[in-house]
Amino acid sequence: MIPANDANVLRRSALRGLLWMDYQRHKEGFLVGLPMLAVAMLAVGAIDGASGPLVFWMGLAMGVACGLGFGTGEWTQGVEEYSLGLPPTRRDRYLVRFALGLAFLLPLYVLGLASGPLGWTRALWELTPFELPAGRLDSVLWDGFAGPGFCVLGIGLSLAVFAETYAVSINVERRGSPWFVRLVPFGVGAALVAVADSAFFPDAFGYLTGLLGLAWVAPRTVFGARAFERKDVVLDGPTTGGGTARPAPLLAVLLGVLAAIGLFVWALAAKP
Amino acid sequence: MNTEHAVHVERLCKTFGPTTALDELDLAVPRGTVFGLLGRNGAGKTTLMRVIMGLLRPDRGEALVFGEDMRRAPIDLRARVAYVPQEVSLIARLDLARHADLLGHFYPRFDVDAARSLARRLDVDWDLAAGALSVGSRRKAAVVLALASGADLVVLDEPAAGLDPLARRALYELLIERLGEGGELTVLLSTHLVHDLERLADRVAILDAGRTLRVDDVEGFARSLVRLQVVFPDDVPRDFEIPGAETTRREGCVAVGVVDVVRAGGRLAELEARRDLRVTRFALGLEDVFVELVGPREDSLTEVAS
Repeated sequence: MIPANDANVLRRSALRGLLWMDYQRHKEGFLVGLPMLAVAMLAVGAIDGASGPLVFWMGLAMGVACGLGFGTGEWTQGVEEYSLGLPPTRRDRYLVRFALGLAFLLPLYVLGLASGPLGWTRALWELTPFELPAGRLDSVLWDGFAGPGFCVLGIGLSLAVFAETYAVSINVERRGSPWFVRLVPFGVGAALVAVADSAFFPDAFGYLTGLLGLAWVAPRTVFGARAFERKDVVLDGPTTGGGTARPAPLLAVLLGVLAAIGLFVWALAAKP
Repeated sequence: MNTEHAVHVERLCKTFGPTTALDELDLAVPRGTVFGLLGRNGAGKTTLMRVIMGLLRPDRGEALVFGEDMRRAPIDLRARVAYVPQEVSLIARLDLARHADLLGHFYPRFDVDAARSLARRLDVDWDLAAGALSVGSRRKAAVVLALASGADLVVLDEPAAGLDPLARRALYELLIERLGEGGELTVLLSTHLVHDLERLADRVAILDAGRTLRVDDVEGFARSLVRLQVVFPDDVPRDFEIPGAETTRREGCVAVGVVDVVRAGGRLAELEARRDLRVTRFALGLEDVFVELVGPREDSLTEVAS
């Protein structure tokens, strides 16, 4: 039994509950993420000269986790009123989902760091019937992490997807506004994804990842908007439902953590 | 800051585009009472509950729960409130047992055994995923979880909507039992089913067009509003108005009106004392009061008199 008058104990218990709830709600998504990771690892081996494409998936995964944090998942699943009526505040939800995002991101970084020297990419590639691509298999990830593009890309893509999901939750307050106005944030998010991809990835791979970004944004836009339209009254945006936490400070913390990780890896890779 | 009341709402306004959902609404829900919100569809009941729960931002005014705005309330205060929205959306892939485990993390006094027992009594499958439950069972499940939460305030938005009469009766019996267990449970309940409130509520607020028309206990409504029939020896004089009645309907020698006894004061006694008239009071049920206060006034005099 949690002591009713101890807010700290109650908060810790609520955070555990939120983690458990998010795991239960999204465990299939996590399982889907694993094959995505394998595909990403294969792509790393296949694309000659790509500068750490695994970072793209990291950004995407981070964006997914952040997206959940701003209630989009709850809105599109239609459980927002029940879920937001529960005791945890918005601040608690943000914290838990950032933690989830980082928990998803950090193993990827570790994997990225370790896969080159340990030969995991090669081992994975050998599971397929295809011929091993020649060249930098054993060091490509390490090299990729060494460039400044890593930080910019990881943060830029996270931001782009974050902006898109944040826009979804903001848009619920503007149900009556014209379609083209409501689509502007999505367009900006998609454009950011596409531009960042084509800038950092060479040749056709950049366009491919850009298209992936668009393919990510478009159905979310449609399904999200349709979910809102079905409701009699939509709830307010990301600052209601308990707690006064605004996303900006937490976003700053997230970016700081990402930058710190990036600098750490960069410094590590630059070490002779 | 008023903490005598579980809920204190003052001059609350909320608009959605051109639609005014709440219009300078005032309300005070005393602790330890079952407080009913009665109003027709679109009267503002659900919006009021969402604002109280901190899910919607009011345009003006304030809504306090145990003296705090739920949008800024700390978690320990929020854990004293359980909410069952009208559109019950439990987490589809979790069964009730897992919902109970989950809520155990959020509510310090959550009683899993009580939840299981209540679910059995309401015939809700404890081990079936919420997504596989019928709408009615989901609603019952949500009420079960709210009642087992140990919260001091339970906010129920149309809890019986869509339930068959047996399920509704079972649900309310459960609620009455829970209220009888002591403690200081406050229930804020919205419905447009008048008989539910007559059975359950200590106090009732009748809402219309986003405003509170009247707040009283059920007996108080019956005492304060009566239908008065006055029979004259000849046709009703053109200038005759029943004291305390907003409108007086006349047909031949009969005049009928719904009288606010308090507002009429001594004038009503004077009317009843007149020997040339036959004055009869008809008691009104809550539904009659509701219709009189918010409904169309087009019932014929013949029906009224009969």
